[in-house]
Amino acid sequence: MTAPPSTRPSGVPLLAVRDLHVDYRSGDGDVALVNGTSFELERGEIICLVGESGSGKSLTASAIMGLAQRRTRLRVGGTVALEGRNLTALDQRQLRGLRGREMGMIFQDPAGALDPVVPVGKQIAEAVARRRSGRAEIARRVVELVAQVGISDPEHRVRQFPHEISGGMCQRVGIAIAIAGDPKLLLADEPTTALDVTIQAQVLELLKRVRDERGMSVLLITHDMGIAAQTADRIVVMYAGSVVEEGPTRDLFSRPGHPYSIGLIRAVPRVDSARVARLSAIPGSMPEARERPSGCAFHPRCPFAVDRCRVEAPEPVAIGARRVACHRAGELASGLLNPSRSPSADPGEGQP
Amino acid sequence: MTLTAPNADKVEQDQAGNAFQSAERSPGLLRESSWARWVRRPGLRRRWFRPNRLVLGLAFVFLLLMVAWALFPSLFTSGSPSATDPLTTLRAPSGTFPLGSDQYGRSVYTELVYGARTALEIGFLCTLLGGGVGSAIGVLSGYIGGAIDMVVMRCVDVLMALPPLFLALVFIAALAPTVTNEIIAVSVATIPLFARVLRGRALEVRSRVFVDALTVVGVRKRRILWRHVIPNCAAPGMVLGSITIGTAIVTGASLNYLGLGPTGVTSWGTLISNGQGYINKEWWIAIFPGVLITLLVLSVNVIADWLRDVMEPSSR
Repeated sequence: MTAPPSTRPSGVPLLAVRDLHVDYRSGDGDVALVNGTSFELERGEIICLVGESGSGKSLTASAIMGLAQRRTRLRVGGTVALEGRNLTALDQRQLRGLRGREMGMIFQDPAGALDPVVPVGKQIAEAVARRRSGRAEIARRVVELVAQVGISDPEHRVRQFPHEISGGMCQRVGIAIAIAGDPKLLLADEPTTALDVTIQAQVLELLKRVRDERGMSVLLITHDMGIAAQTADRIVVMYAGSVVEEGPTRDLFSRPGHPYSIGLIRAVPRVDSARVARLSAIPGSMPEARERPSGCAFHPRCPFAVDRCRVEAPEPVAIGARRVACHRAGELASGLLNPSRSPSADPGEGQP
Repeated sequence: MTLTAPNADKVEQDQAGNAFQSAERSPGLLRESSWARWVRRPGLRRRWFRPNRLVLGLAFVFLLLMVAWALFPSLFTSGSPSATDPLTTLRAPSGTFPLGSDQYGRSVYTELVYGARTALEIGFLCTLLGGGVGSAIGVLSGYIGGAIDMVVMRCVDVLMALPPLFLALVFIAALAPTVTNEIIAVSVATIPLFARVLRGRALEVRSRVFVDALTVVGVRKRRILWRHVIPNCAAPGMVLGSITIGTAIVTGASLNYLGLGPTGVTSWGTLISNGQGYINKEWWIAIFPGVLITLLVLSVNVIADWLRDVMEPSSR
């Protein structure tokens, strides 16, 4: 990665999300969908936001881009600082100035994110026009971008419609659109969920390449721990609208600190595991935002839950390079509790 | 691709599926590059060979004939639609009067030929005018949303509560009975339906992911409206337009029948009302224009139906 030509004081991360809240304003009271999420993203870094459906990952991305603010039913609180500038305080007109140039986004449904009645080249051109002008210049840049995201025969491809190209191609076009304005921050909301596994690998490789070549920071949202392991520098684990653990990928996979992360990693099949172990599932399911339990939101499913977990929401504590939001993180880390003997690992034993 | 479909069920389904893909996603009718591709796409060609193509062909031929009558009436008849003759009143169909003559001695055939212009004029102009205004109101209202949408749609609700004919009647009664006013009246009557349908479409298009995707790139709201939302609303607009032509023809003819149309203009509606009193014996005066109105509206609707199948197969 090339060193960021930063004139700002070092130590200011590219993106700092602090205590982000997204509330749904329903007829009978507000529902907190994202409940105090905080994390930071450094320049040139790939962070994975992982968690199951409904944990608030996508809404977090949506709030960073200022899309959630456009929905009348949603209220966004907290700060999202892009190079120290708070985005949640900007209106849509000010945000428009930043979109495309400072931050770009890739969507989950690659075909749905493209206008069906406009040739893909024209759609890329609209993004290119944010930075460049002049027809010939834009056209040249479009072809260049299309080639960069690994689409062969760019001159021909740009004249095709989204339904004439495959899902993987659509996603490449989506990436071309997102990087057209040379943004510093790239949000990718489950960019590979709709693609098959080989295409998925190619798209992830492309994302990494884009990061390396342009020094972009990538916030990758996924529910697939495998993708996270393969792509991320750091991982942020979300559960029920808040961050439960955050840390470097290697640490988080080798020594997960939060019982939820432990469960997530256990649930992933491994090719290289020494013995044939039973895959374990986390018992129960994530509570709905409306019925979030008191204290730590994970306590009803947690094998280590104690009375304190039921009443008091845990604050994140530093465990090595990680931050873990768990009352018993210290005990877990020091090995006082043996995760492998927990009921989630072995359904034969009862609750401790 | 097979032209005949013996195991119709499966093939039909397959075609529908295919056509859904191609038609739903590429009705980019408004630009030439997409138009050419749109016409050449497989779904469309397959639909040409469906069994009802005979009916469709007849409808096209009939519509073309009517258009020819409207454009060049003198090529089809030598008489004048307004030349009365007291010596030839109420003649039955014969060599001199192919479709008989009316109580003023005018050839019914000649009057029909000249009346085609009135019918088509109202059908097409009113659809264009009313459809255009209605679509604009609907798309804008749906795209802007909020309080504006609320107010506009309540107004449309009020208009929708009245039958289109009644709406046209109110307008023509308030204005002087001229050709322009008649067209305005019928146009106004078509506005509510267009506004309602296209507002729904705009609302749906606005909520699609690609609008978010464009927003996120920093494309202006106005540009999204013109370049993306409106083209995506074009297909249902054109389908509704083709159906509306028939309705507008009937509404126009009804106004003329009721004597609210412009005076001195030959029209099928007027002819029916003239022939009404003679229907028992000199039936040809009223029956032939009636048949023509029916056939014209039927052809237009057959074509509209086909157009809908091609452009919006999901709505079948």
